[in-house]
Amino acid sequence: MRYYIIAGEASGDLYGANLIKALRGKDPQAEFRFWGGDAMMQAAGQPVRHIRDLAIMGFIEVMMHLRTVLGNISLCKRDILAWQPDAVIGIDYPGFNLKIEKWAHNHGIKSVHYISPQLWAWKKGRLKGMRRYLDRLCYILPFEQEFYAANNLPQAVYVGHPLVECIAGLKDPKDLKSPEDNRPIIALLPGSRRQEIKNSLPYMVRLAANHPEYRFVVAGMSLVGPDFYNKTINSSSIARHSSPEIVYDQTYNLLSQAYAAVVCSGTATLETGLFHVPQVVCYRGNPVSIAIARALVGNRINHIALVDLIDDSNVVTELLQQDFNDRRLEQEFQLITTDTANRERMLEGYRRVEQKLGNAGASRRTAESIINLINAG
Amino acid sequence: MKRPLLIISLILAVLTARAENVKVRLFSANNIKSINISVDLGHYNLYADNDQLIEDMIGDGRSVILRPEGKKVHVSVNETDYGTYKSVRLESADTACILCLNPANCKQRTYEGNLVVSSLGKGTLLILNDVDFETYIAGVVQSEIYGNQTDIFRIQAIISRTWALRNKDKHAKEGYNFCDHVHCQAYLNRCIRPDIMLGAIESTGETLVDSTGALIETPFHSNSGGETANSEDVWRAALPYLRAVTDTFSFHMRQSDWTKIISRDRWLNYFSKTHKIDITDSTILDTLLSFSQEHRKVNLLGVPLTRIRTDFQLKSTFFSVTVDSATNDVVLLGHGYGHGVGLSQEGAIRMVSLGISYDSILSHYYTGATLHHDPYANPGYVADYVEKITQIIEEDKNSKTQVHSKQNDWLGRLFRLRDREEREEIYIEEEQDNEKDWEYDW
Repeated sequence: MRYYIIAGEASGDLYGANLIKALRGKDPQAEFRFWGGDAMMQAAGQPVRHIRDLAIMGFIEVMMHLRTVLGNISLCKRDILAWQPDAVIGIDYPGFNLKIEKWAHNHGIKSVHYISPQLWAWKKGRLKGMRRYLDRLCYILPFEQEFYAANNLPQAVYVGHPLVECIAGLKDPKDLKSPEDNRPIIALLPGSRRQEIKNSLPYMVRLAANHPEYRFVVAGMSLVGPDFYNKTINSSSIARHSSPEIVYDQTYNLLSQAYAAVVCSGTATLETGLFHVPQVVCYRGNPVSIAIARALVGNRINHIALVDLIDDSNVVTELLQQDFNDRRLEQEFQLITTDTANRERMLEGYRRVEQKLGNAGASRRTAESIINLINAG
Repeated sequence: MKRPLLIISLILAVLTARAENVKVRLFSANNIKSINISVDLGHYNLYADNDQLIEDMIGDGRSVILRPEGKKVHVSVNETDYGTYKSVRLESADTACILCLNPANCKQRTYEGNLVVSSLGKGTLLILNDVDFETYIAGVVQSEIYGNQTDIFRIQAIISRTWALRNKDKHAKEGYNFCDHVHCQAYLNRCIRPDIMLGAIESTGETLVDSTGALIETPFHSNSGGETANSEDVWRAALPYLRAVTDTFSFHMRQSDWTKIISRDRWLNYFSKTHKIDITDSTILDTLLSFSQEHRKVNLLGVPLTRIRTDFQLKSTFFSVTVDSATNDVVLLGHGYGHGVGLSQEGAIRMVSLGISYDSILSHYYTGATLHHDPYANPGYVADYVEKITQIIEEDKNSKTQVHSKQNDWLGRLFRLRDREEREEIYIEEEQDNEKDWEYDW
């Protein structure tokens, strides 16, 4: 069978790669065409477009890049028509994928969305369209079960979180420690999108400059490019004195050896939690985008970090917008590094999250669901 | 056209960067009714009007007592009455000399260099220290900053020297260069710490200049609280090198944070009565009771924060307002100490402890300013003895006695060390001469 898979971000790329392997395990004749990154390339060859050209987040940013976004949608539709897949599988990246999936459904191609958009938080209006145009929705967070049951979406299935298998499958992490430098490692995860990195990395650099007792290491992504990281770091006058190290595409290696972490909100908060690393979560976006998001979300949710959402408690401290400033970051950093009771409380929260996420196998369950869908006609 | 101007400016900067002696008014914040002066090191000659020598070689164990009599100064030495004069001058007779000044109504201080005393009338003495410029700078550094690392003293010496050279005529009309108070720069004693002197010596000839080569204003403050202030937000002029910068190095220091509790009535009445603000308006009331500053702001409901700082005697303008729900009092949660413009001393101390170089620290706080080095600057009279000063610092580190006294003062030890070496050199030369003589005789 032919599978057309679209991932728009680094995390989607990783899940996409695992999904390709799982589909191939169940369907040895499987053919793939995809939009994705390096991980999917290793699994299935050349992409139609690489994710480095796609990552845009927030209302203002999308508006600024509207022509590019619309151009990509048009390209994607033409490519699908030409290749005629049995199923179009969008991984996360809902702004782009839901449009393509609707279009595919209307053209008689099975439409699958893997990793549900956060409808329980905002854009609940999308439910109607998803009910009509999606043939399968594979969601990954345990608390979403209740939401989809209550909102009558029978095509929605819970497959478990793909991160659990990604982390469980991590073998022999490369040792980042050196005999000359035995300082505890602090992982800095400034996000995967350029806007996120630009907004969060300068704060992290200033924090690092003030704490030579720790070894700060940035989890860089090669698709963003060293130039962008270096430029962002050097924009701070402090950087001349002490710049943190950067390792590329080694986030899991880094987290597996980190004593604590500063994490820009996103999937990385859950990854950090699953590696049992105490963290401060921070996010600073375009104020207009955030204001619009807040107006849409209202009081429905209390958290933005995935670990907090899954446990429905304050497992980690979230510093958002104005609260994400040098002073608060410094205070919270002290708490996750020197306050043993606070660290233990956070680790206990992570253990609850792990229990709620359950076993590995999300990719296998998703692959089975997709194949069953196609076979059912 | 720009190049000749730049060259002229640089030449001017070089010329103005040199200084020999300066006159500093001592005890400028006090009315000095009489003063007892003794000699801690070396000898002094006492002159009166028109270089009339009254006493020579005044040393340890003798004291000069001066008190105003109308427009003149009454002089006595060890209870011997010498009459009254328009002014008296204590002039050092040795290379290194220290005077101990003990006014009737102030704490005792010591100074190097010469002393010129006259009467201001109304029963007050005008006491001027005529002192080598670099010795003055070292005294200022000791008065203005705390710490233990040479680079922090070097930094303070550079900004104090730059300020002094730019403002050396501040009190010209009154017959001296600087006062010893914060109006100019604090100069509350001679430098009694050899490590501070070493920092000052290392910075000899170093000043901060702007892109045209002109000396810059170098304001500093105790602690920025995490962010410095733009010059125009505190004073009038917007200077390109005094820009607000993020300063996380000022966190976790002595003066990083402060709290002040004010009764709710006093706080609200201040805005209502002094600034005619309608506190019955709920929006205004809410602003007054929940004002916050993520970054430094300039006003609170149009009232300059600098004014509020003065009126409530706050440590800084960088504060947020909350209300204590239990007492209903207004609680100001503040950051930093001082006006916030230019260099944060505690931030600089932290940066030095992190191994950041002194020129990087200066460029962090003074945006775009560059370090200028005048190779012809007078380095001060102890600069030839850096090795010996370092030796004394090492001896002090290993010493159990940490209390400073005139017997263990570094300056006396330095010159005793120098004299001993000179004597040894003379002895060796004499021995060699004797040997030659003997060979000749034989």
